[in-house]
Amino acid sequence: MADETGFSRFVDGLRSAALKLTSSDPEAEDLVQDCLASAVQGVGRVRKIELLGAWLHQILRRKWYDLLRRRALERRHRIEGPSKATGAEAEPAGNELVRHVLAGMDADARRVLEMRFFQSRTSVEIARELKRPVGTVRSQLFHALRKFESEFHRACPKETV
Amino acid sequence: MSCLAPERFVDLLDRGGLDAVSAEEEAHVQECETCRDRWATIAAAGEVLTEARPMRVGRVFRLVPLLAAAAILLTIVGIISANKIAPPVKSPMTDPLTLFLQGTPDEAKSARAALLKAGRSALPGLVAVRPKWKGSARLPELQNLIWAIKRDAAQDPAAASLLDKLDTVKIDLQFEKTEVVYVLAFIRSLSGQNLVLDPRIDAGTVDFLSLKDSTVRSVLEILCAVKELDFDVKYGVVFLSKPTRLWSTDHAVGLPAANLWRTRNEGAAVGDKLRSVRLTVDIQNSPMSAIAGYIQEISSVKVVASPGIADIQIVMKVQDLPLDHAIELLTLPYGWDARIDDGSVVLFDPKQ
Repeated sequence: MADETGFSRFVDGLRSAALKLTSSDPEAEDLVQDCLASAVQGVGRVRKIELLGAWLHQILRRKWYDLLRRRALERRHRIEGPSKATGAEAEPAGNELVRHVLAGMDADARRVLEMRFFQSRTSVEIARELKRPVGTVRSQLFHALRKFESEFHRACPKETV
Repeated sequence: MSCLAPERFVDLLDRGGLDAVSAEEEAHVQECETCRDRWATIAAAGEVLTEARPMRVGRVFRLVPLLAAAAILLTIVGIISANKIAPPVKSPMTDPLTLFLQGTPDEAKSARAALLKAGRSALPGLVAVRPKWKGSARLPELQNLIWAIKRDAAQDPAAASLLDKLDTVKIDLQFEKTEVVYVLAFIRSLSGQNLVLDPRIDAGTVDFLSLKDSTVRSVLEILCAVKELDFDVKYGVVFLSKPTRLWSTDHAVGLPAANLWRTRNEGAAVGDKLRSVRLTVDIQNSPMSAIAGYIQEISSVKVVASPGIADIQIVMKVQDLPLDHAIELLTLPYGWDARIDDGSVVLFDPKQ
């Protein structure tokens, strides 16, 4: 699959990034496979082939969030029983987790993230509204997104039996 | 080159993603693991946050009857026990979009008014939450609010009239696996309205679309919801594009409102001439220079396509559209512009 699409030269890099994220060989392998399966379906959307690597890493990261959500849901499933975390509840529960993480962040970071991603405003529009320099808002958003990622990871601990 | 600055990654997100990188950045990102990793981090987090936008009424609304009963009880107790009026309790500031979608009916009502007042700047957020409300009883309310904002924002009588027609003309249609451009061509032929798809957007195909006795407005709303697009009156036509291109006030992201000659008040006489001549064309891959020649022929205004854009092939179909708007359509969606130099209209690429 990877050879036909030109993904093969990125597989080692993806595997190493996946291992850093999951700290587990089997999980890293699953993550890379999930990532490549999604990438095959969406490869037509890549306009600049030189950016294929960055695009694949973005998908890998996205799949990692899905893995973390699954972990959190399974944990909830174990604690609250199957009826609370199945079927239609699964997706909202994932979003609930995102909102929970967001709620735990400092007010300023939360505010810029909500304005950017809930209200679809660009950094220029946010800067205008908050009366701050655009560079400051962009820097805040960048650091808030990284913080969000690490908090999300913390909220979905890996459980070992 | 050195690594991209953190702010640049956010700027790229605003501009729609990796497609916005420069050639130099492209070469760097291809090689640099740190930049690839930084991009992956913020783009993936952004996707996850976007998906978690407010989406459903859920438990809050299930508690409404209980909360209402509690409020009535408290009011009665308050009236009985208090001899003077208590100072109003200030509720914490909350985002009107969240309140409209998840607040109590009263909160939703006041949030609706606030969003209406915010005008077009509220539209990207409202349109973005729409897919998550598919099948919900609140979707019509959301669509109606989006429509009301568009309608209120259309101050110009011609723009208001275009929108009103969308809401009155009714059509039947049925399509299966058809490109959006053909669906739009069909609606255009039935409704007689200028519907133009942003030439920079590849809207793809619709798998199945079947509607009977539906207004053009509702057909467009459904089509746009499916394709994550939207429409508004722009450049004198009903223009379909990505919500951020339609309404963002960030110049790097949103489409400009008008050509440079108009914003700078250049060449009043030429401007009057362009407004007075109307254009009906079906251009299929003609070079810009040929189109400039045709406009010159019908308007007697000298029109020049600058060398950078003269050979680029254009597609455009409009009927009875004033030339000033036609020139906007020919330039602005492509990132080009038009100025007036010594009585001539010059179509040019500002980046060159």
